[in-house]
Order: sequence, then structure tokens, then C-alpha cells
Amino acid sequence: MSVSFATLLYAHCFDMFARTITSGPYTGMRAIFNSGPLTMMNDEGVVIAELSDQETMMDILMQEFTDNSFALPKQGDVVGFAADTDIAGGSYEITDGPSFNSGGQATYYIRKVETAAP
Amino acid sequence: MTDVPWTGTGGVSDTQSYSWIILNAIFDRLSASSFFQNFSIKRITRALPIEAGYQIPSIGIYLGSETAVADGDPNAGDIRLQHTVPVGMQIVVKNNDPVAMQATLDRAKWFILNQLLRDNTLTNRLKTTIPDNVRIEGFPRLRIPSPDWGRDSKNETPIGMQLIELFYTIRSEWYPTDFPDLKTIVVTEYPENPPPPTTATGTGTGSGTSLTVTSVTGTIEPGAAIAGAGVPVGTTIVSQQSGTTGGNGVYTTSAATTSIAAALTFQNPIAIQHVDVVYQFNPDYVPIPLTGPHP
Repeated sequence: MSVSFATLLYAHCFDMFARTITSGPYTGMRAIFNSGPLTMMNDEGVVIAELSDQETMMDILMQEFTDNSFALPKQGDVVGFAADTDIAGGSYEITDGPSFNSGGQATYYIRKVETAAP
Repeated sequence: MTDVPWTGTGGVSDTQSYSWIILNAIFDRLSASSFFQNFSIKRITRALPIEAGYQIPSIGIYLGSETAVADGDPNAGDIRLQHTVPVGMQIVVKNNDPVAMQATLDRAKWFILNQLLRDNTLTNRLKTTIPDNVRIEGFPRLRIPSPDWGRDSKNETPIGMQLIELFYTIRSEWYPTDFPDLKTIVVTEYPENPPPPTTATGTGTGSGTSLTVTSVTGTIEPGAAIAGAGVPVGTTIVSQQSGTTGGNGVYTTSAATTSIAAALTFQNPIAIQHVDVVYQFNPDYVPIPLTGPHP
């Protein structure tokens, strides 16, 4: 008998850590945010300052999207999240993904939807 | 005090390098320009990272690694160097539209090149508004890498970054501060091949050291060697007492002669022309190093 990580493991993780998507084409679905520091160094040999940013990812359970008749998110889609306690909300654009693990979870790189500057 | 003594002009170049002065000149121009004046961050040092979350758009003007080579023979004259200095310019913007963002970066790049390379107050080789009239000799190299979009497009902030590396050339001359042992050099120059002596002839009658000469052909000059009957070897004309200068007349000789209407020959001295050239270091001159890229 095979083990369903999606049901036996990830579903419980999502119950604990996932946030609800509050705007965009996937409103009502849920995803887990994961963000960490990212530093851009000088890759070109030119004299530049380092640039500190975040690398933010979003995990979804594929089965949940299928069960609710959603296609999997793709590059350019926008997902919105409400603020949650001390975690900021906002709209994010999917830039890369999905990438899959073998347990039914899909991971996306996302970036903030920002006002162009300048 | 053990400092090497030198006197500057009282300007900023007394204490700051030319490359720092030029870096500030570039920074001042770009940071006040229409394109960049409202940027969140404008920096001249890269000591701190740019925080993508709240410091974009940003522009940084940074000094690269300065190098210098001898300006002329390294072992002749004052120490002169030709410096090459790279200035790195980093423009960071944000936009979720990649095409619009690249267009913005391209405008920024073009704007910078037009602002810097068309600015006569910056690039004129004779007169600039750069402090102490520090002058840029030229721009030997320009490098503009492809725009960067963050670390493999994994950034949370939709950034785009344009880098520009502009190299410029300056010169410096480092005068010695003191010459205590040498003030004057005197050089006497002689022609390598002296001209042949001129001669004169005449008929002479001597009385003691007075010699009356008639029928003179040529010109008799003081110092001329006299040869002929009644004239001791080595006798010369000392001066002319009377008569036509260099011609018929009475001359004083260096020794008594006994000539009587004798045919005489006068060999004039060689007229060696020499030139004295004096090189003198002004003992009151105070060298002024570090006051301008090239005096």
C-alpha cells in the first residue's frame, strides 16, 4: 500500500501554516509562504554595491486545486494575501514555477506587485 | 614632524585625490539631474548594500581600482604618472513589466552617457568647473554589461539593474620638494671644429716694441702672431697705437723688433666662439605638487 504524502503529511502542514489567497484567479485557495534573505553580489566584475532582497516562495497542494477545478498557477499569475498578524499582505506575481516534489506539492517563486519606480 | 614638506594651493586637491574629486563631480552632476534627482537612494560609496524593499530606485557612483603607469620615461625628470580610473555606475529600478523596465534602464544608460560625455564643464581638457581645475585627459574605455534582473529572477522585488563602467584617464606629476645640494649648473659650449685663422700682410719697420706697418693687406688684429725679418719668434701684436684700425699704422708688439721695411705676415688669433648656458634652480621656488593633473 503506497503512502500519500499529500494526504497524510502535507495536508496537515497546510492546515497549520497555509494562508488563504484573497485576490486574483485563485481566490479562496491556500498556500504556504516561505521567504528568506537573498543577496546579489557582483557577478559582472563591475564595481557595484551588494543588493539585499528576499527570496519568496509559495507552496500549494496540487490536489486541492484539481478538486476545486482550478488549473495550476503559472508564470505571470497574481495571487493576493491578506495581512496576518505581523506578516504583511499584498499581491505577488508568479515568476518561476511550478516545480514539483514527489508528494503532490508545487512550489513557485513569487515577487511583489510593485508600483514602477521610476 | 616627519612629513615631506610641500605647499599646495589651498584647494581640495591638497587633501583629496584627483580621482575622488572627479568621482564627486560625476556624482554631483548625476544626482541633481532630472532623471535621478528623485531616486530614493543616491550613493557615492558601496559600503552598505542596497535594500531592495525600500531603497529602489537607486543610483550608485563608485570608484573602481585605480591603476597608473609612467607618463614618459620612468627614470627621467619628475615622477609623472598616467592614471586610469574606472567609475562604476549602478542603477536599480523596479517594475513588474520586464519590457518597460528594460526600456527604463536603457533610458537611464543613455541619459548618463549624454550627461557626462557632452558636459563641457566636465570633459574640457583646459578649463572645467571641477575643483582645482582637475582635468580628465580622456575616456579610454566604456563597458556596459547586459541588464541584470536579480538572482536568477528569484528576487521578491521586481528589480532591474543596469551597470555602466566608464574609465577615464588623468595625469599627475610629483615634483621633488627640495634640492639642497644643487642650485646652479654652468655649461660652456665650444664649436667642435674651430674656423681657420685669418692673415694679413704688410711692410714693417720696428723701433723697440713699436712697429710701423704700411701697405697692409687684410686686417691686423690684436693677438696676431708676427713673422718676418727682424721679428723674434713668438712676437704678437698687443695693440694698435695709431692709424687705420687693422690697417696701416703703428702697433705695439709683445717683444722688440728690428725690422726695416721688411715684408711681414700677421696670423690673427682663432676666434673661438663659446656660449655660456646657466641652469639655475630658483632657491626661492616652492614646489607645488598635487595641485592639478598637469602643470
